[in-house]
Amino acid sequence: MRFKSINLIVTITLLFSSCLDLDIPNPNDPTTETVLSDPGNLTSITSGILNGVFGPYSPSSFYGVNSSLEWTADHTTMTNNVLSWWSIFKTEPRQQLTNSISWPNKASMLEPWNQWNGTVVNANTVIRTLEENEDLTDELTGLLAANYFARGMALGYIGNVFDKGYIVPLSGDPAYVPVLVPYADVVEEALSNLERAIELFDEVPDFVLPDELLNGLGYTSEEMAALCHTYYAHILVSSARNATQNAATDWAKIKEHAQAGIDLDFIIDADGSNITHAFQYGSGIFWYFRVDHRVMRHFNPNLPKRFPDNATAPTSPYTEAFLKGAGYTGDKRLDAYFLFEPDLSFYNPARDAGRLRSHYRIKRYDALFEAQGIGASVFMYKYANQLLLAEAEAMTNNLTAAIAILNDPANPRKAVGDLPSLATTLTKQEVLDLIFAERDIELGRTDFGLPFFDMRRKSALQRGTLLHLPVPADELVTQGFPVYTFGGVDSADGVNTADGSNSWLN
Amino acid sequence: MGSVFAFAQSKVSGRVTSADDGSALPGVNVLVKGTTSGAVTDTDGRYELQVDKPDAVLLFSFIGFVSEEIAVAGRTTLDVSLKQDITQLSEIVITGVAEGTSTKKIGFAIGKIGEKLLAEVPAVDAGNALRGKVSGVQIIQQSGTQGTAASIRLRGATTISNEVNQEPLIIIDGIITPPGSSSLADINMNDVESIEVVKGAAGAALYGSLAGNGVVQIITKRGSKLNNATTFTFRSEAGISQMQRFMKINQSHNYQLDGNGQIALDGSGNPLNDPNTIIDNPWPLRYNHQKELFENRGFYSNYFSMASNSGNTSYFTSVDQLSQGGVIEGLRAFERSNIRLNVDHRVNEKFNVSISSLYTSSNGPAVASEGEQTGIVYEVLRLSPTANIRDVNFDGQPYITTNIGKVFNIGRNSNNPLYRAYNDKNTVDRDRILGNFAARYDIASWWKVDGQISYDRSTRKRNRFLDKKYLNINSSEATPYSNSSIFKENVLNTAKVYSFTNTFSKAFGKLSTALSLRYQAEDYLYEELEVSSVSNLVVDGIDQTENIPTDAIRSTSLTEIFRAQNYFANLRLDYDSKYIVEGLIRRDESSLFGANNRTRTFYRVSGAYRLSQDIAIPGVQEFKLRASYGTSGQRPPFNAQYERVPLVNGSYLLGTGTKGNPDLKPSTISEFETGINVDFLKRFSFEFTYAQATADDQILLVPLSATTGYANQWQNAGSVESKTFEWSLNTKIADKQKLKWDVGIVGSTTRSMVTKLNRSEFGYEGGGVGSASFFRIKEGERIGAIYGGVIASSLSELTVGENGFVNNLESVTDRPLSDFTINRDGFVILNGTEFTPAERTYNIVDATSRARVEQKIGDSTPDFIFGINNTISYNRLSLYVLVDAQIGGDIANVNKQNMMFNEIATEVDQAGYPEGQRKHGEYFSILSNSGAAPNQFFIEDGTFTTLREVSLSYTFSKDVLSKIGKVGSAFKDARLSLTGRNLLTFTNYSGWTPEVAATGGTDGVNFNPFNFRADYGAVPIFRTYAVSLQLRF
Repeated sequence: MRFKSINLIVTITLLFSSCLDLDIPNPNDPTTETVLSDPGNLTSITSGILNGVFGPYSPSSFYGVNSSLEWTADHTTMTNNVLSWWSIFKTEPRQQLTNSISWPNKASMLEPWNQWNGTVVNANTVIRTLEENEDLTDELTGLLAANYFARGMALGYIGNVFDKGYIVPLSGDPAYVPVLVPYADVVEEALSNLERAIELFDEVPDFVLPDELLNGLGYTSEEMAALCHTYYAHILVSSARNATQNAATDWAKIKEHAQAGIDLDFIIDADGSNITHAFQYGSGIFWYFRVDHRVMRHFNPNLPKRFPDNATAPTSPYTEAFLKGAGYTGDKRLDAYFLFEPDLSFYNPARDAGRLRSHYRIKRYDALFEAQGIGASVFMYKYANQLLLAEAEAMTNNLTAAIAILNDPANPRKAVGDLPSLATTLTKQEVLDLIFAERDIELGRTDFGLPFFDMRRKSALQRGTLLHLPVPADELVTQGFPVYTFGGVDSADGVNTADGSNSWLN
Repeated sequence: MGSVFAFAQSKVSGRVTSADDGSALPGVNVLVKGTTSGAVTDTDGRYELQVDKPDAVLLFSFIGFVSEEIAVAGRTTLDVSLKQDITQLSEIVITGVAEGTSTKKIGFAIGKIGEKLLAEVPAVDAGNALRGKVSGVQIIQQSGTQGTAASIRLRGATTISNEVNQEPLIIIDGIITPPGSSSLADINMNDVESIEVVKGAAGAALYGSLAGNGVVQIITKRGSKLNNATTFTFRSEAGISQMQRFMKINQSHNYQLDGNGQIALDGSGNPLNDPNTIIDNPWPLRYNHQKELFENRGFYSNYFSMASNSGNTSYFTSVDQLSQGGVIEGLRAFERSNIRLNVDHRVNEKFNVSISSLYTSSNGPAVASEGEQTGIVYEVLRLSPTANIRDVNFDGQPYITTNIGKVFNIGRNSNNPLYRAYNDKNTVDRDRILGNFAARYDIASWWKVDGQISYDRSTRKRNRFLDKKYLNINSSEATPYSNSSIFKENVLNTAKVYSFTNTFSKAFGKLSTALSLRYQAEDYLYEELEVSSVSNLVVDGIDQTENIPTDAIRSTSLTEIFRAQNYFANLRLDYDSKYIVEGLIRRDESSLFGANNRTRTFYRVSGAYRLSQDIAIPGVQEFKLRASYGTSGQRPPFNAQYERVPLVNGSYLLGTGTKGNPDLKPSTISEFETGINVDFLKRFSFEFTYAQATADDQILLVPLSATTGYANQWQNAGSVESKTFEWSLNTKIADKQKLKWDVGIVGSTTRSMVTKLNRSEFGYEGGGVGSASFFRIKEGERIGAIYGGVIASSLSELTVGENGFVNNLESVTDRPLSDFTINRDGFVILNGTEFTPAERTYNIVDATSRARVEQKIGDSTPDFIFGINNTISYNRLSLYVLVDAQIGGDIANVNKQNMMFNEIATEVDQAGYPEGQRKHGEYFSILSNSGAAPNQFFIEDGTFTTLREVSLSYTFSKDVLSKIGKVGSAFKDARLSLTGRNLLTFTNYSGWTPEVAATGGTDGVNFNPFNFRADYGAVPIFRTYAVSLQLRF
């Protein structure tokens, strides 16, 4: 009996010992190897890569640096301090950015940094995989082009938003040691990628962007190539950090690409998860993002640059009637795009409210707001391309052509604004000022940081405003690089921090 | 001779029980007097031995009990009942040891709370039951949301990562529960007979990689203690909950007042600012929103149990229902129903089986009621004082929330917490079945076999429903309803654990030996399915996913399967109950370990020397020296070893995932522990323990450069060292027939430091929008260190450059030192600016880079914690008082920083200062903001002492009850109690309560309320008053 028991025990023990399989595959996520092993996955992978380009527009990054940059460019105003909007990006004099691993709002910098760099590495992987195949189908060539487009866009954003960036080589060399290179090199790499994308799209004229990509955008090869041209021009223009650099921009190249640029608005159907343009749909909150007086003065220069620096004003003198009174340009876009909100009570007097008040907000995207951000979201107007072309014409001293674009009845200045045609006798500076006014009125809250880039390249930012973001502290610390930052009147060198030489407030 | 030989073959067996309560006594030495042969009783108190003489005398001895000598007198069955030796109280524990063992014979510290102390005030959960009763145990009730159990920390921090479990292993009647399965909130404390706590890694070595944070075992009641009897207990408790205190907030504003003392408005109805920005004008009408939101709400519990023992079969069964309303109006109450059945059956002399089972079902509010904007609690502070939160909205819905902040800038983007409490239907429903089947077979008197199968299955359904007509601050008549949504989450969690143990025990004269060999297999499953909407619902009132437009449905799912199998061998040697040595080795194999490191070995060596058994020390009844060294560990999270490419909505997010790590190991916590136990003067019992633990191979999510193609990788990347001193003193101040007074005092101090970090330093967030990652993890730094900016508060801090100007103050480069002075608050300001709008504080910056200086500005870990419990009884009247305290430790008061920035904090109120000595809003705006970064002004001392529990009880005897007739005479006794919990907190901390842990935030610091104390919108703990009646019959 005793030995039977022992046998039973031993048997049960061995049974238990041998029945547990401890090698459990992960049932939730694939590995890189399994994903890449099936060419059928490349479309889905490319979808994720393109979504990564536009990921930093999403609310997951609390509207991102995108909105911060528009604040500091004095396109948007309020005394709200989410993401240090007020305290770092808006207070006067401008403050130094706190680039620290403790900074509460570090995610707003870190998320775009990570997403765009991730996009570059992802695109590298797909490009390598595709380029190993010498006989690509049209569909795969189109995908290859889309990945070059994504890589170019991501590098373009990095180069224009940050002062340095990585250029992770396409080769996927495991021995690559991350090295931060100046933004100009990053932009150059971005532009070469867009050129390559254009070449590839041109090779496959029958290619149509699959429905999985960019939420069913469905662009043809030709339309994608045009988009690449527009972004080429836009990224190159936006890379100038000051007026001197702007003047030195290769405007002939800008003109060349803008001429081949988009003829339709670049609109993605935001879905609330893959792609969302949070800053754009947030415009619909009636008490939130207001439009700075700098922009509203394009409708009536009599509007002061700031409210009287007196928080005690019993009531705002700058009512709707004021803006439409003496000095009003007659631009009907005032009503078409903007909404007068009488309530200013949310502005905190102790936070520069005297200067930071504005009655106006953008109403163009109210429908998007009411749909909780789900629906057609504009990332680049075709008019932006027209304005790039006009600016290139002006910068290459072809003022007549530039004015002709502004006078084009199909363009919003006349089609919506109902403004009279401009005289052909305008000076270059007058034409440029009008172009920038158009950009201020039309393009805010579309492409990432666009009004900021415009102000930067005019040297029009207030003294002490950072001209680009430092590499996020978390990345620097991870790599063992020294942490640094920009901004603040003490650091106004005109290279990394605005010296205010042409500040719009001067 | 023949008869002698006949007796030489005689076997005597029996059962040893406690005379006090009839419970079995395992580990009793049974010796044939005058010989070296004997036996040790098993966990059921049974023994069996051979005697060679008919007149043999058996000597029964056991620590804490009066030894007995009993003649066999020809009997073959000899049951013995031992009386407790009140001078040598001892307890049997089963946690951390291979089988039931007297605490006197254990070489490491172990805490046990017995039924008597637990019964004085049945705690709301097992965590709270441990408060102030076991040294080295820290309990934090970090949220007052009803149904939320307290968090437990045993000794120091063993884990840095917020994704590796921080709580001790919870075992319920031998059932190993999955980490984070809310085990403690499910247990009805009326069912609990005792709680055992193994605090350190050495003690917990038996559980290997399950128990790096120690072990808490809850042992529920059984019927086996009874002697052929059936008992019934009915207990009903009812009471109210209320806030301990309300937070003081600013009583003034800076708007103009008209001639009637009303806020002056412009033509559009907007307020007019005062010509200055001084916040010193009285509100014409002021609602106390805290008193409106936090109301006294009821709670009750009804409990019934039945226990019986009819010889070979005994059982204990109970049912209970609990309803806890919390303190927030409109929030759903937490409700829980439990059914328990514990059965023990003795099949024959050799074979016993037992079953423990629990079914629990609960529902209550989700904890999402915390935080800013998305929560309730912080919002109540931010509302404009003139807002009547009981007004109706534009569409007639009660509790105005749309545009409620419009009334002056305070709380512009606040929600009405009442509206949210009533309409944000955010609930959690849980069901759980716990079952354990255990069998023991005595193959021989020296060989026992145990088998156990346990099963823990829980489901959690979270449901959030914002109806079609749900409003928020941005709703308007033009676009009234654009906030609706549905969120549904179903989670299934199962744990199956099998174990099989052989125990060999034999006494060789004075040497008792026991060898245990165990095999254990674990099998876990976690499944999660979420469905939610990303845009508005179609119709009103339908909380079903069909109400979501097709293109707005989002769904995610997750499956985690993990297994483990473990083996251990434990050898225990006990010589004459004086010298006890134990050795343990355990091998863990887990699917959670990386593929190249699937096996890990843990071990323990411990020893105890009962000095007082060798040397008579006057006045000392027991003096034990003990020491142990052992290891246990922590398992990596499920997904840690895998390379993962996120698959989101059908798109692969290549390159943003986690790099796999097949070499990932469990962390290993190695602990040396030593201490003494002294019983003296027949009424004192003292314990002191020193423990030093090193937690190596910390499991950390290490960020990788974006250039790698991966976002991060789990690595074994650090070490944490902890040192703990803990002590306890229990005494019977009075032990008369009528007057009895027991006092227990426990105290401990722990320090944990990161001694190695193989990744860059990083911060954990304090929680919520606008808060910062100020809890710094870096090599050489304590866990709990707070880093932040420094506001200049002394002229000696200022440095002057070659140009003669101060060069280390933010935003100032052209001022000599003589331009600065110190203001009323002790901060550096510019001369002549005090009480003007230009007055401002300055952060210290680096003189060269001009970057803001960050340095250590606090440490959350308390210096010392202690608790005192008192039980005084006179005849049938009993008073129980429990006080517990934390001394030291800082709290990052994020609430206060936000409140000052929003002009709610009391500091901004200038009404009490003379004219001309009032500060402007600009000053507080800069002081509180500092780039929204943390600064030392908002670091507060978190010291507190809490009158935790007071209970006054009277027990009516059967004699008294019989005087009220037949009904009364049916009862054995009746106990009427008045109880208060969390009654008073004494603290200088300015928030609602110093028992805080930040919630929310991307880093989720709420995982560690012990080392990371940040106050950000958590529902404060509340006090309760209750009356209860317990009837036994």
